[in-house]
Amino acid sequence: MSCEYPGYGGSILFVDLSTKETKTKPITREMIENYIGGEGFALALAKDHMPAGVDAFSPDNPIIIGAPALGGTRAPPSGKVTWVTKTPIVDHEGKSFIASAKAGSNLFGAMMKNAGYDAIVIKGKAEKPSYLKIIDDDVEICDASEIWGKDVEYTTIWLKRKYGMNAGVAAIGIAGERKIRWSLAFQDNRGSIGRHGYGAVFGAKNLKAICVLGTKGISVAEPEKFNKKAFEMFKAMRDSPYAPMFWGCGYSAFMFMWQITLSQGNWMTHDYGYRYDSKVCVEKIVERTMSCECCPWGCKCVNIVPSGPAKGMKSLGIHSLQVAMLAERLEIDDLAEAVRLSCEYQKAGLCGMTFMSIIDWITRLYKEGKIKKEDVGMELKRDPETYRKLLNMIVNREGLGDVLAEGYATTSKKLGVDVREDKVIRGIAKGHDPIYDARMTTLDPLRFLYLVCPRPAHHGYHDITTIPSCVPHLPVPLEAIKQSYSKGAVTKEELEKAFTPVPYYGAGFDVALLAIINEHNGTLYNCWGTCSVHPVLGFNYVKDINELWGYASGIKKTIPEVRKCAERIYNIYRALNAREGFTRKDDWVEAWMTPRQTPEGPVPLMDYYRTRIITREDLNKLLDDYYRARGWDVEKGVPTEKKLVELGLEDLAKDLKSRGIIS
Amino acid sequence: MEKRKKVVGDPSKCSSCITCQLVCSFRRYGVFNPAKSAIQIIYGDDCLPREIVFKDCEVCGECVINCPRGALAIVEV
Repeated sequence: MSCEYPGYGGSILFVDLSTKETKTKPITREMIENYIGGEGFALALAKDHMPAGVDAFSPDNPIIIGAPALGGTRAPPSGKVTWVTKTPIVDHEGKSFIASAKAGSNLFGAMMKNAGYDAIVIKGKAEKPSYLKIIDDDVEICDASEIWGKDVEYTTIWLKRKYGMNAGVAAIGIAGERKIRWSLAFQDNRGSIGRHGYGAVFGAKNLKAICVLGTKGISVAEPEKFNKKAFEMFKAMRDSPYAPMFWGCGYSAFMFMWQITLSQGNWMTHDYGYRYDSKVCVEKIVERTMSCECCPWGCKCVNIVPSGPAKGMKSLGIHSLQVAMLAERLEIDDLAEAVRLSCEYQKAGLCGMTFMSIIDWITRLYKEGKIKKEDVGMELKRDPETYRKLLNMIVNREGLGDVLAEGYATTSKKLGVDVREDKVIRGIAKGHDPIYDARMTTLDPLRFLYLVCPRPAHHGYHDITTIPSCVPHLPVPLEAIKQSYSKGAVTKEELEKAFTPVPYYGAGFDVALLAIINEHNGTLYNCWGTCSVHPVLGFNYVKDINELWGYASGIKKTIPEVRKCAERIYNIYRALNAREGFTRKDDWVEAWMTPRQTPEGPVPLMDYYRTRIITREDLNKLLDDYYRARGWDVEKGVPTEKKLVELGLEDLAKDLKSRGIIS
Repeated sequence: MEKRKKVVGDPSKCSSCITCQLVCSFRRYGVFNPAKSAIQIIYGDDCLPREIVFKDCEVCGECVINCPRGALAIVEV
């Protein structure tokens, strides 16, 4: 039976792994009105169920899962699931942030909804290695001894064969079991949950996997209108020129746009760009690409090692772009070796982005003589054999591997080097490395968000400027940016103000104010469970999806109304992290203040149109703008009591006030 | 005599986006529910689609229209 709220599963599932108790609570109309679903539900639940200052590996640290509000329907796409937890990433002061990560699925989100759950809250620690089985109302903590020690692929298919091919599976590899602080969990063997150590949080709970299968079905409020609108959106994307590009090699189709983001400075002057371009990906690496739920494109690559001793080794979920990044950063000339290494860290359940960065950093330090053999107990060459050895040492927590497994801050302290002072690495924000270096691109809205987002330096808040900003000679014309932003969660006044240039940024707009609109757009996509990639390329704007969600749920909200929901949700996110000690001083990447040395010359931090260099003073003024426009305390960078009360978050305001975080 | 028709699937083209399963159940029962779909995707050891099987298919063609990758087709038996 479908639930009383069209488009929804109907309840929240609470699981205590320690006591094996489970209970459910119905969702309410008020929850839907205020938080929509997905990330909104997950963060609203975090407000009530995340203890202040909890350790990431404590049984009290919850894993909170928000199913997409449009999940389980044919909304194209609708497979993005939100995962909220306290991460095990530790910064140089010992703080850890609360992250809200989103992961693509083809079945996990849909099956949560079909089983009747819009959110799941998991607490406690299982006595022995276990997995959580959810089949409609049948919820059980089961023995995982047959899959403990196995990789994500094996675990996923093992559970599907046991419970049904339609089952959605979230699972970890060995890295998660061994609590590597930058290990990942994976959804349906294709979407990574993380970065930022979600695998280790699973491992700390003795939780190998979550398997969910539902048969209840999702009804929608206005079936004909919903189906018509969804088909139109689907058709527009399927018939676009982008579709065959994605089908061929996923994300790598856009290598020509992205390649400069990979650069340590030598991409453009070496031949990596040719060795790992889209054509090579299609011909030699990518077997096929996989999609999230109802995505007409599909960016997840199945990569295969093309030759050598590991020929035929396969990994699902890594886009070939990551192989190119790995090869360039670690100077791997042999394509087969790069694919092999990427398959191996994927199978272990490690974050590839952090793997390549931390290995690059440590081997460079060795090459430059800043650390020596006696410091690390081994010779550190920059070759694939050494990289593989280090990978095994990390996963097995042996010697230097055990140090690197703890992340950047701990490694810095133990080896007497400070990663924050490294000028080649892309910078460190809140204890972690960003995916891209804003100096090598430009300080566009996404890169500005690398600084201020509670979960630092990751994807998710893309906009029309994101990809083309990587191509210095191809910036998007201002009118096109304006047009794109006008279809987002924005008021007319906000839009006008954001597109008023300020002297401390550059031409066209105030990046800090565009970033806020971006955060709201992204938050809404995360609530609905739609992808942030499609709007970058001109599809699935907030306006379209809001209309579709209206047909699904029967709830008709205006753009200012959904914008308000997004603002409420984002304020919870920031306030919870303020409670963990994060303030304005953490919204900074010091490395970006020094121009990066490249063979082409020094590359400083610049505005989107590259009209001027962004100085320390400029960036501080932009941060002022950001906090002010958000209605937050400009000095501290935390939400004010007034703002929280205005958003109906009196409980959070009271909590923060009692702790002296807000006055 | 009119020839009988059936839907066939090519798993090598399938991206497992499950749109077919959702539109099938929606057309037949008015709800989105893979469990009620006539289409079942069987995954192999590598978690990739290995086989697409049909049960009680009415050959309405809804899944064929909605498959983004052209993995489904109606053929004459």
